[in-house]
Amino acid sequence: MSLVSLKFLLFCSLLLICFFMAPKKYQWVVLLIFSLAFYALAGIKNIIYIVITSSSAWIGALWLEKVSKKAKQYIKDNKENLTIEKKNIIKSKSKKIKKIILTGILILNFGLLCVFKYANFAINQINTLMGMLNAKGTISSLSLIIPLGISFYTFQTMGYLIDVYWEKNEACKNPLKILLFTSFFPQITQGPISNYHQLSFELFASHSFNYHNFVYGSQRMIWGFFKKVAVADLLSSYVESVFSNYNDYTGITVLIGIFFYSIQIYADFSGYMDIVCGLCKIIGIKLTENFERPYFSKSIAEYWRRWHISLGNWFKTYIYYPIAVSKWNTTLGRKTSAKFGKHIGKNLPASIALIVVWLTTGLWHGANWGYIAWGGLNGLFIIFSMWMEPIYDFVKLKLKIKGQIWKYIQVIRTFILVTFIKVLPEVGGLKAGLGLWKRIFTEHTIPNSLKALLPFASKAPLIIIALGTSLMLIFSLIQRKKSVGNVFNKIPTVLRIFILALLISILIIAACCTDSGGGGFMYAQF
Amino acid sequence: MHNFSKIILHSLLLLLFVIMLLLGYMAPYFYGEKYYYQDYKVRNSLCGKLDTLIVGSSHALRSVKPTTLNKELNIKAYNLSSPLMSMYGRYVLFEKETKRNPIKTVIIELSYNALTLDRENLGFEGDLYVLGRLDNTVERLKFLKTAFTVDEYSKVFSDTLQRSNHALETSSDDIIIQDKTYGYLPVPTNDQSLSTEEKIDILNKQTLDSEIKKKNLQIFNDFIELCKNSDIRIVLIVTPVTEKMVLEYRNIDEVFSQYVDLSKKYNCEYYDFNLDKKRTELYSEKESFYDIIHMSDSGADTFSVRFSEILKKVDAGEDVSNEFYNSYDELKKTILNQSV
Repeated sequence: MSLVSLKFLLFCSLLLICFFMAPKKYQWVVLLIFSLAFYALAGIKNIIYIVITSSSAWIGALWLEKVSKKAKQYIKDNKENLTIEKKNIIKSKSKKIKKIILTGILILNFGLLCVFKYANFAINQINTLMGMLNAKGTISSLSLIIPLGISFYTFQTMGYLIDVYWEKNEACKNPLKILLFTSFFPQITQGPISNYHQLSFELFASHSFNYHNFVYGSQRMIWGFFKKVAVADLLSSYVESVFSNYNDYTGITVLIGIFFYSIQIYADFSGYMDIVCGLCKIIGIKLTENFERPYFSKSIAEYWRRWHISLGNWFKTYIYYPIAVSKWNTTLGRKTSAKFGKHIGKNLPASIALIVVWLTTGLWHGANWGYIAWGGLNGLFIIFSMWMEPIYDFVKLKLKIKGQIWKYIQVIRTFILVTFIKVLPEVGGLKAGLGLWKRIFTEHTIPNSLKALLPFASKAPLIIIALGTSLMLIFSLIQRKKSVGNVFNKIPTVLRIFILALLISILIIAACCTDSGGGGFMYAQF
Repeated sequence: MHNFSKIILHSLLLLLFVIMLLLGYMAPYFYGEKYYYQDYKVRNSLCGKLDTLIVGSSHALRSVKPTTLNKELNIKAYNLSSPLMSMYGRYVLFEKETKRNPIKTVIIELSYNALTLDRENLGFEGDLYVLGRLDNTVERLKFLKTAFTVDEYSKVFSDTLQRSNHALETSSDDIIIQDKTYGYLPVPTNDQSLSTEEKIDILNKQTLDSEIKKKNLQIFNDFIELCKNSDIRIVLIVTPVTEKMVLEYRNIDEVFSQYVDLSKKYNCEYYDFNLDKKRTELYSEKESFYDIIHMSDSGADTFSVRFSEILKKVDAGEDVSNEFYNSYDELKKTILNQSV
């Protein structure tokens, strides 16, 4: 079910009625029923995979907890009879068993994810290699339909399991509650990837209808729909036109096309977030925010702390830190520090962890070399700026660069860099992405009219896009110091309702302008 | 409870604003007259002056030039046709004009699918144009209720918004000046010529739906009745299509012979200009057509003169039957013989 449809609005209305009419104790059951219904509507067969993930996480977590408790209990019961050495042996034995359980479940779930997402990519690479070696025969591709949201729910659920392994969370006894945590419909298709501790508290608490939540939530939903339909969907046909025929356009048109893409992907993804966060706000659930004005970042590292925040946190918690603080990596850091100085000793282990994180992030986004290169480039930029930090500081000190202007330059530079990197996997492979870059830098014709500059665009949609983008910019500027919701709700009621009506009307008009019909969210493909 | 009533009140206000804003946005479509056939202001200005109406769909819109007829026949004609018009849409517009003009003649264009295509297969687009051509909100609401099904309303709504968008984007250079063309729409020439091999290759390959639909026939009866009651001369015509079209359909005779029967039944004049013996001499496949079924501007010029010539002969009491072939088979043979 598309989130931008009347069906979804009806679905939400029905949910709200059932949710607030249900006894508070069973409100989470209503959410579970609606989540499963939402998922089933996308393909009933896919439910099997979400059940596998959720039940394996449920069993695994209980098992991990049992092993851990058993060892602790044994040590506690035999406190006086056990030597420290024996206690350590028991602890390490229990840790070993836990590691085996965790590894088994991680292999099962990430294995499923890999089969669906990467099997055909791997087959293609093998076939290419066989072709290069002149070997006979090829492996045929698998016709697999990727279950909706598998990347998101697998990461979220495995995060829960790892937290139980680390004893940060207690295991949940109720399998249905874990099923709801895995399948909670507002976040199933595009996240946010929440942690169990935070989301379970929200999901399983009782909620009463609250006027303030209803107003703020529905306003945020309208804003999300507006961003999605009136900005992202309208831009999508222009971007597609540039990406699929970039050799037919002038360099400057292609350049505008890639900036359009940057706006489109932000409006699309953050629009989705606004819709689901707004809906959750109405029912009293606070979802993790995924954006914090990312295009105002001063560096790529900062950008990634403000864009798709929940994914960044997941990678930081479950990949970056374990690698960065692993025994071999800290030993490497110590040794290099002693031999080559503190700077290298500090940055080398972090760089190794970062490159692993970024290549994995690239792979998570999609199975093609474009995404891997995109991830690698992001990682390289972050590592490069980390290594160059002392030089930057030195140059800034020498040239006496400081103040707001430098910050603006940094923001613009980061936005341009991010935009260029972002398009790399989106044009249809790494080669095409590089071809598009080349076109921008080698084709210098200056179009003599707006029609020549944007031959694919028409007036009314462009006006709507300009209006939507300006509003997004204004809201981002307000958001720096205040809550946009609070500022908006200080406006007199009639005017406020009129502004909302204007947004709704524009989005309806925009929906009619979109020949393709729009509807699909870009991040759902990941 | 207080909060719920507040939510309901605010939601209603929101809905009201949305409706008002969207209706406002639709205005360019209904009142802007940016579409070439959105002509109610022109028709209002000509009110009481017209004596001849041309009623048809896109074929008539692109073939019959009222300015030429006016000059040749000394009449005051207006082309009421617009694309994809349903029989009902044609009737509504025609009825309106007969009430406010001293109409003496109506030229009803009957294309190959005018009576055989039902509204369901034709779609609502033609009626949407008619909706934009009516005078006021009451007329439009009435037409909306009678011409469209409830299922079509949401599509009509979104299409109207889309057309309003186009209307806003249309520059004044792109607008056809209605009061100079009297409803006629010129289109450029497009080469439709076929080689002899192609003509032989496509011969009788396809079939047209030849079943006249009950609803269409009923409205056609209403047309005839209205004309007879108002003492209006009825001229049924078929405008020329390309040789490709003529050759391609094996049962084209079957379709048009039913029109002949109808004209005899209702005692109306009937001229099929596809069967005009001078057609190969008058119309070039290269210059006279825009696409396989529509005439170009130069084709319309030639056709309108030829049509006037036939009407003049008829008015002078001449028998024009020898100006036309008797059947499409005869025409097909002539076309192929000329090719070879």
